[in-house]
Amino acid sequence: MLEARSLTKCYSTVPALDNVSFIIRPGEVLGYLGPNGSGKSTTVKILTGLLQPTSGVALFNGQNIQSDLPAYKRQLGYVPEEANLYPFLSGLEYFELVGRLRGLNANLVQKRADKLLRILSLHPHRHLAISSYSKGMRQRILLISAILHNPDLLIFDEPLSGLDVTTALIFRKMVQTMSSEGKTIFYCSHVLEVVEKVCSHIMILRKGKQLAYGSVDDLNRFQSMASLEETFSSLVQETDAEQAAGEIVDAVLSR
Amino acid sequence: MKLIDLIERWYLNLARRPFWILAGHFARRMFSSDQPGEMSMGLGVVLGMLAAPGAFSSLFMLDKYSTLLQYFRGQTHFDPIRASAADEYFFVVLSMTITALIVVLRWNRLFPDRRDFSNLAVLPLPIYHIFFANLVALLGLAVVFAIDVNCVSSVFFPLFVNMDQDTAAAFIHFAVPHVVTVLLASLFSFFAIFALVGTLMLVLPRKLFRVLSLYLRILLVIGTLVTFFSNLFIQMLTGHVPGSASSYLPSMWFLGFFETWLGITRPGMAVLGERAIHALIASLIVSVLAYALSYHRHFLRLAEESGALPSSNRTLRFSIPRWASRLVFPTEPEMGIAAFALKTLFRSEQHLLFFGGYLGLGLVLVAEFAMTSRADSPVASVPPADILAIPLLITLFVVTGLRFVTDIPATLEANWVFQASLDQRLASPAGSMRKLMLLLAVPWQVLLCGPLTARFYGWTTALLHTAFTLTVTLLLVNLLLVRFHKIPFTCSRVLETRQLFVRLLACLSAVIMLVPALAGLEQWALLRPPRFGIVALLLGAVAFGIRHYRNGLPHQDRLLLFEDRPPAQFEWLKLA
Repeated sequence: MLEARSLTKCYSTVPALDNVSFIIRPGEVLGYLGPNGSGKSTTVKILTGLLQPTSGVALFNGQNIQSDLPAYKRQLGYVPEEANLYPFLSGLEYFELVGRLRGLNANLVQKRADKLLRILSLHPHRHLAISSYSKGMRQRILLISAILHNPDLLIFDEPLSGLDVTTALIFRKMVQTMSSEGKTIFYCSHVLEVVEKVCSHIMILRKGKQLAYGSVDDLNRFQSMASLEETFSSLVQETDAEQAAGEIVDAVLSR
Repeated sequence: MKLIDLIERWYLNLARRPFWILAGHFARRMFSSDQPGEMSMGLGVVLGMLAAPGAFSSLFMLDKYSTLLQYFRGQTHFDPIRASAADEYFFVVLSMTITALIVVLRWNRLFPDRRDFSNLAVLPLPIYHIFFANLVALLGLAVVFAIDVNCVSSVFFPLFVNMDQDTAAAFIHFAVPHVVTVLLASLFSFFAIFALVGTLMLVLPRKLFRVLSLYLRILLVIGTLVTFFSNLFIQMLTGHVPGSASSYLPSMWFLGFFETWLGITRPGMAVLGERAIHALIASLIVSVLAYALSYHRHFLRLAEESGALPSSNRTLRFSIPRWASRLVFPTEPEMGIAAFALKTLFRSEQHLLFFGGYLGLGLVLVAEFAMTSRADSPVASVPPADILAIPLLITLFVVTGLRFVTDIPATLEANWVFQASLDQRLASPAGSMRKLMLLLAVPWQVLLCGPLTARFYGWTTALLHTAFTLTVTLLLVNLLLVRFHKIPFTCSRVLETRQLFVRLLACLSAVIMLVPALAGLEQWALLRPPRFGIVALLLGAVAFGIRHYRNGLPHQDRLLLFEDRPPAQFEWLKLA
């Protein structure tokens, strides 16, 4: 179980995250939503142990994650927003590196990587340098390396970025299957349709503050909206999309 | 047998530990390319290339120390130990230069960066492991490079020097001080630059460091090359090592260390030897301290920064008044291509380093021409040919450097913007390049060389000299751009070794033959100005030839090139 208790993070004196709390139980998927600058990335960095909160605490299975970070990271699988991989390694070499650094048996890494590469259509490209991979291929590499060690907790930060329709569909099904296997999943995304379909719970942030937290149905019912998109828009939308679109066309047409 | 098994087991155990895997990864990362077009070599190739200069240099010394050749030359009083001081100095300078160049060229890889952070910080590793693994990789590489650069010369050089001695003791007596000296010199070079990087990272604000870093590296490359070649020239010209005036050079300190160990007593050298040891210890301490502190300051704070890569905000901003740029580049496509080329040249690390290093070589040659110029002119109002050659030489290096560097592709993935938006009929990349080359070559000829020549040799000579240099510059630029049909920095064609060799050979021949010939021709014409009529006819014929050749090119050779990456000529087979 992953629990955030009153997480607050300030950069200098500016609060990027303000008193955010939630619980994700095994088998649950929390969708983490919010516009740019709402504090999503800061939350992810705290939950992955890359940042320490200014106040509050993140607990995994009742233990502060900062108390034994290496032990916590052993149970964590993380797909970052940006596929900033080592371009000089091949896909397979990248898994070997990550697997070895995680202390996994080389044969196990090879076996699992081989299977996952085949499923995600990367097997023919496994010996090519990552520098030659497309964005979607890099994203698939990240995905494989996040689940290679069979983690109990998965943190996804915009995992569908650059993925083709088939892989995105596979990914969605995978999230659902993993949650039914009892994994704890934190899912941060802009794609509301996907979040609506795969997440059991939703949290919406704006300017570092928690706006709404609950199950998808509860949120929609509470806001009297038919879909998550409408609920999200009613809570965080600051710009009138129609008006902005009109202004863009005006700017292009202007002399 | 059991011992070998034990060692093997110990090694395998060690190699499986995450810390050593990480250290190996950092060592590998130091010599890998980020971009598909960038040159990427394995560590084996790099080590082979680094060992080559020392190996060849020591082999050439056989001529000097061969007792048989000395006999034929009639050299009966030859003291090889004393005579070896100049060569020892050469090896010290060589090992310091090569090591310095490696560190400067891999400057960005010395410290763990954002990519390391995003890949490694989420793994179950204590964060200090990343710190120490990188430090161990750096120290290991420093030692490996020091050994590699000097490995062949450490055997052959002492062997040649002791050719007349047939005892192992004599060989060891000379070889040990030599090996230790060159290794320490290499290590000093490594740590001195590393200390400089670390200290600057620590002292300067991050943004300023990023901006200054690139230009500082270029200065270091030029400085290293100038130091190397000037030392070499001093040695070649005088036949022995520099005197006490150059005792501030670190290379001299290590020579002092060598001579003191060997028991050669020359005044002041023992002090220099002590200075070498002090400097080495100081550089090691400063570099480790600076590394530790800047690691804390930079690496551990990466998580607090936005997702952008560090290089993204390292830009040099310069703006030219619109009317001025419009005057030189009247059409929008011309302007666009020129702006893109200029910004790529001054913002891309790879390109600027190559261009800077190439110009550095040119500056060394210019200094050489200036220092060795002979007063060979019969008339006071006409400069010596060596002086006349200087602007031609600078021009040659500026324009050929610029031309060569445009063949190194920048970010190929961004080429689509030109393919999608450029009207091929309106675009004239050769025109933009011509103007850019002239912009970098002409202003200083007119504003600096002209007045200087006028000051020393009178206005008539200055005018004729400037006109001659400008005409030659224009011809050279036209010659270099005769088959230039691409947007600068966007072609995917990577230079083949053969092409590179031909270009270097052409440039070398130009330096050795063409520039002195042109300077001689100019001097000949300056002695009797009506002779410039003949010179004009000659240059006109060359211009006509270039034009004729260009016009005779088939249509497809004049089309704008947007090459896609050609298929690899061979690929490694992955048989595992």
